[in-house]
Amino acid sequence: MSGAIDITASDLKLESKAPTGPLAEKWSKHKFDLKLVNPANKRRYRVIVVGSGLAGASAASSLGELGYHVDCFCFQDSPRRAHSIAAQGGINAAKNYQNDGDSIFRLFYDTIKGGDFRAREANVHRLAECSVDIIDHCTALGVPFAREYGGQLANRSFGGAQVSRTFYARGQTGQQLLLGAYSSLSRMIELGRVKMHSRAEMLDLVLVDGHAKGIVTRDLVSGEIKAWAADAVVLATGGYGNVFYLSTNAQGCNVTATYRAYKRGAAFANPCFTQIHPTCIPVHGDQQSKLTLMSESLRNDGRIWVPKAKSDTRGAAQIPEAERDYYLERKYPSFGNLVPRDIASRAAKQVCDEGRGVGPGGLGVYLDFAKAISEKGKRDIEGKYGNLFDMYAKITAEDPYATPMRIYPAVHYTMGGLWVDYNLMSNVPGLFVLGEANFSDHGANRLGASALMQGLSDGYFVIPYTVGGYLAGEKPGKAGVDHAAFGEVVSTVKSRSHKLLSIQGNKSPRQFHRALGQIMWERCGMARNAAGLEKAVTDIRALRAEFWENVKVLGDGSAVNTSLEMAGRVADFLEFGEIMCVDAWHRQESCGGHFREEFQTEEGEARRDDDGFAYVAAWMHRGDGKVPSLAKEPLSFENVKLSQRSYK
Amino acid sequence: MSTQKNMNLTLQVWRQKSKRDAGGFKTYQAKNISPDQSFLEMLDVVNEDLIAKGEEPIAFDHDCREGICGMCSLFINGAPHGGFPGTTTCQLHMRHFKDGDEITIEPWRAKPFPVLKDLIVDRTSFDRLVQAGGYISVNTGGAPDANAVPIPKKDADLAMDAASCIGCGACVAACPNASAMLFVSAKISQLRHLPQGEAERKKRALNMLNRADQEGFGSCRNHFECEAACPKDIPRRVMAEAYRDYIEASALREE
Amino acid sequence: MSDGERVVRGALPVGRLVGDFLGSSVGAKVIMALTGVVLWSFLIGHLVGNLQIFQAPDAINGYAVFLHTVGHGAALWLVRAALLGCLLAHIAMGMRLTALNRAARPIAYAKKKRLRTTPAALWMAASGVLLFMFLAFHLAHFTIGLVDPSSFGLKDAEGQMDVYKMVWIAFKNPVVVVTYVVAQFFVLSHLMHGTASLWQSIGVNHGVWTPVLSGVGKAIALFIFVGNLAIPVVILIAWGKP
Repeated sequence: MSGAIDITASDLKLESKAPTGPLAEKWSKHKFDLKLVNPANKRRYRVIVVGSGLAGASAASSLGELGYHVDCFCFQDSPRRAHSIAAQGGINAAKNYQNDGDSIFRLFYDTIKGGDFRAREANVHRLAECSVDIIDHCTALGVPFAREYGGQLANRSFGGAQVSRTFYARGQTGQQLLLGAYSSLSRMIELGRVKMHSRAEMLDLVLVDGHAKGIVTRDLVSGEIKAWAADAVVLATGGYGNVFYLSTNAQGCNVTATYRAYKRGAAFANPCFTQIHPTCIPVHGDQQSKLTLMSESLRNDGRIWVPKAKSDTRGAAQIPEAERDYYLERKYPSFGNLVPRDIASRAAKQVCDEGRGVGPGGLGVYLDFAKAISEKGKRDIEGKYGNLFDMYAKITAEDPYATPMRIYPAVHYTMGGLWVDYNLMSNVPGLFVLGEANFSDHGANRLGASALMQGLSDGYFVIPYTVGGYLAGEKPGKAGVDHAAFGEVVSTVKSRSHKLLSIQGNKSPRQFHRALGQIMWERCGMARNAAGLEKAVTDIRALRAEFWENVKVLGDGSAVNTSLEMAGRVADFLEFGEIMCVDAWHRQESCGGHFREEFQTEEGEARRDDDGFAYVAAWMHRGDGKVPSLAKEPLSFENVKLSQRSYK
Repeated sequence: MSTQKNMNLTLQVWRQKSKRDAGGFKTYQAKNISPDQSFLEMLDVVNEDLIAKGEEPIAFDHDCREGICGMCSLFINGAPHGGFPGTTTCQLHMRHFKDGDEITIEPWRAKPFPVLKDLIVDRTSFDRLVQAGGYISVNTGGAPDANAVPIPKKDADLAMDAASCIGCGACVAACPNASAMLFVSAKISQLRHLPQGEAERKKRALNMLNRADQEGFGSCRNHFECEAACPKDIPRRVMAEAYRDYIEASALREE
Repeated sequence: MSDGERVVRGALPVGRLVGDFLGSSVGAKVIMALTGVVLWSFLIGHLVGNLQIFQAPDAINGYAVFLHTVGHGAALWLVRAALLGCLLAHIAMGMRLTALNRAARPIAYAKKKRLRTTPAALWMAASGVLLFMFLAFHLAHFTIGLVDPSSFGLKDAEGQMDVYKMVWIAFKNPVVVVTYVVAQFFVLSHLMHGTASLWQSIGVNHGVWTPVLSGVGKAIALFIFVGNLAIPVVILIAWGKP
């Protein structure tokens, strides 16, 4: 590969291990082919699960139920806090309760197509298969899904899907599913099968003879840096959206666990695939710490517009109808305001770049309910969106019934993650990666209500089988924490922590994080181009160098130290951001959440290059400061026909 | 956007180095605070100032900053989360304060919530309450079809009302007796309204409430401060339901 | 793998009934509610009987004789024993819960707002202690006769104990009246919270009926307050002598 960034090819062979045979039979066949661990032997195996979100909690509890000895870690004060809890809309499942033509194949097809044909067919089909079991299991766990008056489960259509397959629990579906998984986890903790370690952050991975055999954590209360040995390590540590500083992610979400695994040899796949959600509340000022998402269902009744004239400072009410530009309705007459997330987001950026944005800094567009209110009545709108309107009013102190909402896109989800095979095992044997932390199921763009599905499918229904398949070939307790490999990693982690505390520069970790976020959002956000990405790489390197000379972390390592925690996470983001930019730079096509300005149609739509880029780009660490090497997993599509999306 | 001008505030903040340290209040100035900032963003600004001055930042728990994870706490001016209806600290905006206001910020106070540092408390006792029985004992795999047992919408809604608890601990913090009754009952109530939870209904109440005693939470004396402080508006009804199940299980010797 | 039965047992390690119910804070609370109902019922009966003071002297004096002789004199002692038992249980549980609650918050807030609770609820323990002190005085005064032995020993024309006269003499003394009046505020305060919240404690919470029951409870508490207040106040300001 040529260009300003020198990318070398890795000699790593990525084997997907997807079973052969007809698509619909692959998973059943594979489950039968996987080796089993004798029930009496299971308790001799230890499994470490890092993260307690949907994927982590469901994995830890299911593995505990099977009889494995599980250690589960989370950095929050309780496993119930993980950010899966914030998902609002719902969870997809191919139940076809509505008799509207849904099926496992249709959910599979929609997910592959929605992901812009950059996901692995076999994985996605398995996801669609498991989706139905998730709903059954969660109902059995006491998740209070919405019901019809007859007592049957209610469904809604979500994110422009043609069928009603989304199950929900008011606007708190993620919370209810997570608390369901948390309750199972709690039961396993009570039974002594799972040992929970809260306020413990994974800071490194330990490899013994090339296999993942443990982790090193920092106890966020005592500051103790400690090694933990196991027979397999499961990472369910979420996404890296916070590399942008401002995102809809929780404050603590970070890339450290997956990034540290990457530095120990795990391949990082498609890091540039990030999802920008179009309906977030715009930034209000410099001191903002996070962006709040509002359900995109608002676009069912809200009309999106900006003034036709640049820098129009009049209030919304003062702008006459003729001087408004309902740009989505204009550009996409058949889908209008309901175009997919990536298209709606990019269109908003475009009009704001033209200087037609509204609100502070011109970073916002109107989402106007005036027409819907006059046609359907205020009561109808209140019934559908009352809680969202209240939330908006609470945050902005504006009444969205009287004046249009202002919205702006925000980073929401990251499709990229550690590369995994069909067993959800990375290229490092014994290291499994679940949920948002892996790259596997959403390709270049995730459909609404699919993240919850994936997390739970991975944790409840995939990992219990595939971990067994790996462990059956491993002797239990191969290496304990007294093995030299653990000591080495512990001292590396300690010296890094010591380094952060000893710099005593002039800038807080937050200042660096904010600066990184600006670079990423500017250059690697909704629209990217080669020159911008090259600049970003240079800027990130400079910022990183400054960080290691000028960061200021007060206090010491032997107690609660929130600055130290943040500094460690920011340090990893400062390295990881570069890989994202390199990936975005190398992928010379536009697909899903990745839009390269050089690769668009005349109408400004994404232009995918299936001949050149129908592969998973997996990056391998080559040493600090070096551009990672690239391994490719070609994607072949045997059951779907590749097509270009059109929403005109 | 608020039309209010930026403001300066005086904060009385509880600082405590560790679990064993005695701790005490310290006074800080929060300068040029925008009314659109959230309370935690205001603390972020104060912390950046402290770091610049070489003083360790104020430690507080927070994560999602959108009112759902339950990690943020803070006893603000005499009430959990500031005492505004249906609002967590992270959703509390500075427009509720005036220029020149003095704000007292304390950690949750309860024996089962020991202070770890500054405003951070240890709430793992809540986890142990759930571990005592806040679940339906079902293993993964083999569940019947989700529509096999119809659940009346009313029951599903009652369960959901209780299930919306975020486990923040405001109920305990607000309770004059530091009782965890509302928290425990919310889980008992959620599961008792669902047919799936019926089998363990009595045992669940017995185990969870006994565990609450063991953890050192106080006893409910029907002040209903919890109900007023709950950012998710969990109603007092759930506690009566829990008493009912507990009485059945213990006094009537059914478990 | 199958799961073992897990039962979290109550605070006291003695038997299931005791350990789980009596030993638990919920059990203590239920016992307070139930004994509270008994004591409250007694207050109603006590007041209704005593209001006979406003009739001719024979009425209340005869009532006193009735109380002492019904069931060959055993009924009175049975009721007294039952009331004493309830009172002791009520106090014991109250003290236990108060101690537990104090321990549950070792460090008080520097600043604490009242959100939904009432002063009556917050002062339950204090009003209880004061009530108990008043009760001791009241028993010493009219049941044992330690306060004013001379009027306690009075007999009426039929040779019965002259309750009517004893009460009138007592409440002509402004100091005694003030004591009784002040005490009625503690009674009212204690009952206002107790009667309204007892339903919740025994697991009754209904959207419609609980507020009605609590309202009736508060109304009765108010009736007890007014009635009990009336006796000393009316006597103090009334013309004439017994």
